[in-house]
Amino acid sequence: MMERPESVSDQFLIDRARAGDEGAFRDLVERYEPRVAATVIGMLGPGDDADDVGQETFIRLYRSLDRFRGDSSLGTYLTRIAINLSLTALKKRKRRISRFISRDETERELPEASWDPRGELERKDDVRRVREAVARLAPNHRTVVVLRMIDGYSTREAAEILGVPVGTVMSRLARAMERLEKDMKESDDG
Amino acid sequence: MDDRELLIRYRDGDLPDEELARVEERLNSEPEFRSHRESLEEIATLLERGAAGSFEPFFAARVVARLREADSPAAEGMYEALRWIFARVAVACVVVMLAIGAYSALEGGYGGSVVDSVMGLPEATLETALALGG
Repeated sequence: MMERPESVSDQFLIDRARAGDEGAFRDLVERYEPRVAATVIGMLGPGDDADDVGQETFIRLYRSLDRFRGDSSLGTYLTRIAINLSLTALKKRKRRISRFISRDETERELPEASWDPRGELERKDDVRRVREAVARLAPNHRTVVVLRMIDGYSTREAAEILGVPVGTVMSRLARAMERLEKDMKESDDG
Repeated sequence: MDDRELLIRYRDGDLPDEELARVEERLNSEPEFRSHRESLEEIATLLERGAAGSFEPFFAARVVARLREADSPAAEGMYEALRWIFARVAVACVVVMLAIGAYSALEGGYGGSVVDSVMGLPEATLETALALGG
């Protein structure tokens, strides 16, 4: 298979993928995997659900290549798909948990911090705690935290992705950060 | 705008000069406001540090394999076969339901309304309930 340099544009790869070049589509997946992973794992935590939503995100892209007009960047387009699929997965998870899974198991959804020989355990534990706190946020608050604080989108970009006013993103983010601050302080005290 | 919104906009570098000066003044003079800012920075750093950069290994290969599987003639053949069977079973069910409804309506002796007759439902009165109960 021919190696494609990083400088090859998204549009070139999209055109090739439309023409049936599987290698070009694979290159697109590899190029955007980090961004989609940050969004999906930020929303769902690591695990099979996130992997499945990640795959489905790219499959939706593949199915819609003919309709992709490039109005937004490919990254933004993928993020929008990833967020929508993650929100659907969260709803399914909530239904599944309420039916079958005990509270103990829901608390095990996020990975434990691993032992670290360089003495960064405490810091890793903080990362784990903040992830757990994010997982406790309401889905619409979690979404803005992921888009703004993890994916690095601006408030305006996040508003465009979500189709809500800029003020709504800002107020949700402020409430979410307030909640995270309280959660982190409570777990410090407890 | 509340304090947290103000601090987020401050962090984004999104405040006009006048508001920026006010925020900096408050950061110097209000410990609680400063504490909120420190928490915001701390949480932002932890979120960035904890961001995932990839899925499990061979992710792209899994996506491509899933696409191939979905587009394979076997999968399409199976889909078409199920569609063919479902269409015929659905038509057969509708025909049977219509036949039973027509028979019930023509036979008579069921409830007062047309719907009750078609559905073959007996009239729901105290007497019929007692009769049905034996």
